[in-house]
Amino acid sequence: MIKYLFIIRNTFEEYFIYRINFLFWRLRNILGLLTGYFFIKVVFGQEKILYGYDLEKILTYIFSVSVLRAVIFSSRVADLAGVIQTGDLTNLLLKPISTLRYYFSRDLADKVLNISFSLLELGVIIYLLKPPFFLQKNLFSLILFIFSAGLALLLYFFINFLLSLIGFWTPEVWAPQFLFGILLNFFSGGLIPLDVLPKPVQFVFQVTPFPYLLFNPMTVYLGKSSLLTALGMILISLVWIGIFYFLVRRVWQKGLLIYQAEGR
Amino acid sequence: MKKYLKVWLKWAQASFIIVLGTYKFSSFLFLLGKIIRFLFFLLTILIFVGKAKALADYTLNQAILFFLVFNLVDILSQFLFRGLYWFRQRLISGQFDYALLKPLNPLFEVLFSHPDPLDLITLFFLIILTIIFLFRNSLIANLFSAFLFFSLLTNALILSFSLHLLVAAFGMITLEIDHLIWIYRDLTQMARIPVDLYAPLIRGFLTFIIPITIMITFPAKALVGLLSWQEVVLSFIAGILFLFGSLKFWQYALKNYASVGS
Repeated sequence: MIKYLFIIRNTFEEYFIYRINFLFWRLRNILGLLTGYFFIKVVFGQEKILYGYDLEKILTYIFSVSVLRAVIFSSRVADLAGVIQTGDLTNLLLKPISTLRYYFSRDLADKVLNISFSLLELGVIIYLLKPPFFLQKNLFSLILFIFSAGLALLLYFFINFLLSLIGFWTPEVWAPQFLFGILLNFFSGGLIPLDVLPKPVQFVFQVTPFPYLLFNPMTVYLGKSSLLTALGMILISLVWIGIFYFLVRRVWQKGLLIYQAEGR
Repeated sequence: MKKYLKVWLKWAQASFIIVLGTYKFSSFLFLLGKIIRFLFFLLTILIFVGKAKALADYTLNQAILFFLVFNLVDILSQFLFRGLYWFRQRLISGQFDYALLKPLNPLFEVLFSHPDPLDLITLFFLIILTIIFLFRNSLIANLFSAFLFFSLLTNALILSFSLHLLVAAFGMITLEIDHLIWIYRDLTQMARIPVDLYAPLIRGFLTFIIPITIMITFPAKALVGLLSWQEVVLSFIAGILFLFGSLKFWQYALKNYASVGS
């Protein structure tokens, strides 16, 4: 366990080596948040209700999703595809550590950093712009939200890990990741809440694992899901995590069989 | 001039062979990703602005037009100035020194090399879509508006060139290019909706400090006949000032360049 704590510490240190890079990266997050805020504010006006959202609820959705996205989608697993391609995976395989846990530790460091800075930035923006913000006061809903967000984090890790394993079979790894990132942002509710879409489209989305990453945890926070629905979502998330964990194990084993440490 | 065109065509040919010949699968996925990203944001506008009937003082069609003009300026700039995205690697490896030895202005190689054929393909479809959209919805105010639009689009490319050059010059001094160019890209994305909709402070910043408004919002407003003559004058003055300012800063950076890596 202690060796993984060292990996977390090292990942932290890596970030603070390139401080200007880090600063610019955070600035980019703030710009994205501001664009969404002003767009929604103008569209919704003062008292308009669209698709069952008033200004308070939709701004809470936009702001909270940005924090959730920063936490859940921040990941170092995407590097794995390149590591396989360059043959650097050999270095990892020779060490007495699990590759899966190694990347999960790096991810954790990334997420701790992201959640700290995202909350700080969001706090500053809320203080300066004073937008209406919905605070969930029901403790049970808050607990369910935190739990479903935690499951989303795990689910995203396994989905992303699985995607990175294509590095075993093809050198063209960046394009699938680019396309996946765009699709994921929309299908998970990162761009707009999924319940503004027509019902049949919502149904199709709900049979995929993507809404469990952002949209479903957010409906729990906003109080749009009943207790039974929220518990059902958590159960389905667990099933998806199980499926992707199984797939990761299988594909990892198959990939290792054909791994030739090219480039080494 | 002829020499530069000949060199650029050689670069374009090489890029086309690499992108469309060697990495066919990746190119297809990148193109698909770009198109899907475009459609997703268009869908967002249609869903929200369509339901709300308007975006402040702008109609749904005008809001879509602003988004189309944003894409036009953005993709044109990427196609023309793609070389900047390769510049950091050339700087830190010392490869930039070779550009200084060639009988070409190094600025030309820094900005205009590596034109991406995927940008050209996207641009082709975008222009067709924009033309169809404009004529179907009768959005062009009059012939003079169309002329003004093309003049301001040219001015936008001059401004985009200047901003890319400023990033390159800043990069030559600090070696920080990648994030800086992405911040510029993020700032331009704020103009996917009319910049008039932002708070006065942000609007001022996006007009006078980083002239995104002049590059994207003003040409779109000119097309629908909503741009004042003061804004037209401001646009061209900004274009001239930024061009000369960026060229001066580039010269300064070049004089202070100390080769690294080689």
